[in-house]
Amino acid sequence: MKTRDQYIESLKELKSIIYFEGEKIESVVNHPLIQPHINSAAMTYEVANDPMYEDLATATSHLTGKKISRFTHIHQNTEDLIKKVKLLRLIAQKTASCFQRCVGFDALNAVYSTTYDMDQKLGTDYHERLKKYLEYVQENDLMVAGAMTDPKGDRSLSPSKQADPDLYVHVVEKNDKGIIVRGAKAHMTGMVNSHEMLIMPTAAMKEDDQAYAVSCAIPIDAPGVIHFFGRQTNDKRKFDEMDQGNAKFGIVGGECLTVLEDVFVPWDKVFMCGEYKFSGTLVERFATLHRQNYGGCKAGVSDVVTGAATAMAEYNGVSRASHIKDKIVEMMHLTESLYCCSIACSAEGCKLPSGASYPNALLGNVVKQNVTRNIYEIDRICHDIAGGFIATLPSEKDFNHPELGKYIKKYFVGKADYSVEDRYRMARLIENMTGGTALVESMHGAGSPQAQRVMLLRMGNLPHKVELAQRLAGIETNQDEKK
Amino acid sequence: MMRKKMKIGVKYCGNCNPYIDTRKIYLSLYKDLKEEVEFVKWDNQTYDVLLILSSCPTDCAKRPEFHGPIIAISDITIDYYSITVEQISELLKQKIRLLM
Repeated sequence: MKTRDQYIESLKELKSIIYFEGEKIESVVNHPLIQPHINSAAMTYEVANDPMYEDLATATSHLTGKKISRFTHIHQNTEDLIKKVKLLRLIAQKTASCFQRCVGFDALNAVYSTTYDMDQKLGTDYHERLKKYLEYVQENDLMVAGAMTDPKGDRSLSPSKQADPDLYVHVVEKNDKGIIVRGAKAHMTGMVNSHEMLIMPTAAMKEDDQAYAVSCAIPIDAPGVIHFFGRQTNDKRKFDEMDQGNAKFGIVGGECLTVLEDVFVPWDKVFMCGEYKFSGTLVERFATLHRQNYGGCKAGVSDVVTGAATAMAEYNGVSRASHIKDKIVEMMHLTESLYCCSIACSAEGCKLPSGASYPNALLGNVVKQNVTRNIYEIDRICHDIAGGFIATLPSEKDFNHPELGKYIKKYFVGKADYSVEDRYRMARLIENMTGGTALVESMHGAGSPQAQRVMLLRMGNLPHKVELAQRLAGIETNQDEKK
Repeated sequence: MMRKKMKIGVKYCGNCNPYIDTRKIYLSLYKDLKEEVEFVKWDNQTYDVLLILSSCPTDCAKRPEFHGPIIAISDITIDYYSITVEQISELLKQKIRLLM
């Protein structure tokens, strides 16, 4: 396994093409916009090498029997699924930000089980290719960016009916050496500080969309790959320190738009090429595996928000007020409710034909649906407790100004036991974690709320519930018998 | 001489939050195979084949100690292979007939 420092060093070797505001970023390492996201991802390496956390952060490869990072593991049982959730909570408590590596983790698991099913049904050899690729990822402890979301253009049209055929990633050429793909993937979490990307289709495809049913692995610095690093709320504050709020780990996952301009992929890295009937399975499995996570990582982040609200109440001198205590209890209740859901969908997981374990899809969708609500409520309570000054504070430069700083320190003082700087820093941390980009990620990360509701309707077995009610109401439920 | 009927032991998962109607599946099976097969409860007789009927993918039905062939339905899978809900009864019958 790589150490934290080895991971960061390995990023220096990449020749990625990354733009921000029209300018090329020569190296992601030490770049103020990207380094916080590197630090977050590096935490996944750090915990794997720490004896205190290794029971969660490492696993035994079912392919080689070697000790590996859990982020490169294929879940073998429900215990693995539960440990994944616990690991995500642990790391989020340390970073209070997205550490990005779960996306590739989920992509590997989804492609692993789907390629097995494809091979069984179609006689292809995608699963063997995937296993070799997985061994390579495990051996080198690589960070893989899961790449699913296409730009999608007109949402009412299928990929092949779009005015611009490149709005979904597709195969433009096949030859004896491999395939050439074109298109783009949007909102790519952790992409610019990963080693590889694992491309997956973004939706269930029909026969006309065969060229769009493609899954493959591509190095993030392969020829033809261009990344556009995304803006975030208050991103220019990354050139400051205190005003960032979480200077070391940033906000969410450092997302980008990744353009694939005729990128060559050798056959041994191609895991789906035209098998459109399996694209829906792959999407559904990835979505469930990814939605499973959110009661882990978001619970960890909410632990920090709850801690920040509690500390701020103390700095403000209101910590003994009963309504404050009650609100903090509510924050904890909401946080643990999210965690309960993730643990439940893991404990209720099942085995797939490949032997890999898979969370309960109905409950996994409930996890994410709750995150789209509970996080907003947790953050709303935090804003209520912290006070409006978290949104109106003067700048760090004013705070530290040799002549003007005295005014800021005088008028932002709280309870005498605590320094003004502590209160200022905590306010900035709350501002960072509870608004803008961080909040929107809770809504749309791992799929927008309606996507989960569609799954709930599909899997919730409404006729059974109607029958339960009819039976208790004394209504004959078997209409055939009645006739 | 008449051939002895094959006995199938049937075990349900408990049906707490069903995705499929396992009782309906069993009744359809019984209706179509009762002349060829004898269905018994899993815990009070010996049997030749064990049929597990789990109504959701968690498939939590505890397996009794049994050394013969097992057929497992859990949600829309048969022996962990995905099928459609419409296929369940027919594929189940096919599997049982193969064991006769």
